[in-house]
Amino acid sequence: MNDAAERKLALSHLWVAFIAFILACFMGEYQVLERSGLISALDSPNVYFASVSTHGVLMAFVLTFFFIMGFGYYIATTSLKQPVWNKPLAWGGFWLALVGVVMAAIPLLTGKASVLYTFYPPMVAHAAFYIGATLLVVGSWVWCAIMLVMFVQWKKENPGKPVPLAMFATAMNALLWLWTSAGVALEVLFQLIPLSLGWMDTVDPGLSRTLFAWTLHPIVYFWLIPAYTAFYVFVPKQAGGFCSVMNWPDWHLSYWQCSPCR
Amino acid sequence: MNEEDRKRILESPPVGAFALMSVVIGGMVVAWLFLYYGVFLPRG
Amino acid sequence: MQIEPIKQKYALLIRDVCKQLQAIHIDQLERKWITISILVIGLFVGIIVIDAFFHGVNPPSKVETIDSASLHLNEEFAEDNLGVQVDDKGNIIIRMVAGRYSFFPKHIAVPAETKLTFRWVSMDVLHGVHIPMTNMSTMIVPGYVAEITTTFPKPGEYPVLCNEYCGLGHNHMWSNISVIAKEDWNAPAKSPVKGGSNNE
Repeated sequence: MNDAAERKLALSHLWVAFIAFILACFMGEYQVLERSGLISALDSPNVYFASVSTHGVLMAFVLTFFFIMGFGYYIATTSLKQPVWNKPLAWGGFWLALVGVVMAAIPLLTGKASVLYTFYPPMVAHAAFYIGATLLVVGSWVWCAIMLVMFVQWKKENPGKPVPLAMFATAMNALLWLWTSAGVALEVLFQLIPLSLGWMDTVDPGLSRTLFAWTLHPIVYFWLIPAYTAFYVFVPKQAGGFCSVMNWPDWHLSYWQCSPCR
Repeated sequence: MNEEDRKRILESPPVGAFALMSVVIGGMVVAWLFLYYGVFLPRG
Repeated sequence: MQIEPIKQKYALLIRDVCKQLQAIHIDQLERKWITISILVIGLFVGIIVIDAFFHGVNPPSKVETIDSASLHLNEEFAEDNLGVQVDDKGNIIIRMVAGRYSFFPKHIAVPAETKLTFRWVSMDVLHGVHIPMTNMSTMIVPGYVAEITTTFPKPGEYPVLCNEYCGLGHNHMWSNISVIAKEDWNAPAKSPVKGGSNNE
């Protein structure tokens, strides 16, 4: 099912993703220019590191999360041929994430959150940065829940049949992200937000880095699996591939048989 | 394309893929061994 | 609660899953690819494991805490105890403090081709330290001592660079280290070594 409401949901996410991307690209260009020393009037560690931090957050968190969510909604509805479960909730997640981004952007752009996109405690940013980042992550959890619910719904309505490959990958990616994001969530909720609000005076940076690494290592798989999905599912189809060339395991063949010339 | 040609192509092993795979994987193994034994260990 | 029926249920479940896995058809070509991948990975992991167990090639691993807020009061990292020292067993230990925006002492001299033990602490925030063209590279976490043991094969003048963002002056955070040929290096005349790691 790919009607207007579904398309609007997916496209809204993709618009946010690519607007974030182009803004970050301009910041990247500025950063190169500043570092090159060609225009000495630009020399400013303050502006430079504010740009690096904003650019990092936009590229690593905003572009990625919003693209993955929009792409996921598209895959869920087209491969399962059913509407998005609980559209108000989906939109709620979208707005929560977007509000989080704006909330984090303000200290980032004003130089009050120059802690790069890996946070680097014991350096502390303005509390709004961490709270905004938390809202963005919680918004992504809403998407995860919807993906998993739609996965389970389809399995219940189609007993014994293998889930279409693209949705299988997307749902597993959602599960992966729920576990992966726990590290940064713990760090932000129990260390960085209390620290930035003055509720705590000290922090154990060893623990912070460990919690952040819990997220930072596997987050690359959260980013990568949608690309794998596109390569394995969409590219062969667009290249006009035969299903009889390779004897894929059954769950691949079922997908091909379910979705003739789209 | 006629039927026998298609059959032949579909049923023959992907020689080109194997060649490319051998070159790339061979290159990666050589590079790893070079970096480990030639750069990392000598640096103490 | 009875254990037997539950054990049986899970035994049957596992057997079912194994049968399903065995029934998956793996194409000839996929089989070849999987075999080659596993062999390559096995080669790398095997080399690393053998070197780790039999030749002592390990990533540095130690959890040693320290109060970063009062380093100057700490016996081991007091200012006059920093830098290169030789303990009574002949081990060379180098104690360095990282702080915005340099590494202290700012210039040290060590011998080449000799086992060196570096002990790094931070006086303020996270720093990273990297001496290019060597294996001396680690993150320095406030509250912890980072200890790295390595050997510098080639004499020369090397910079000591900070490679973890530590603030607005991070890009200019560095110090110097001279690696001097073994025969030409003289141990610094110093008072007895205070404190240190317990790995001698």
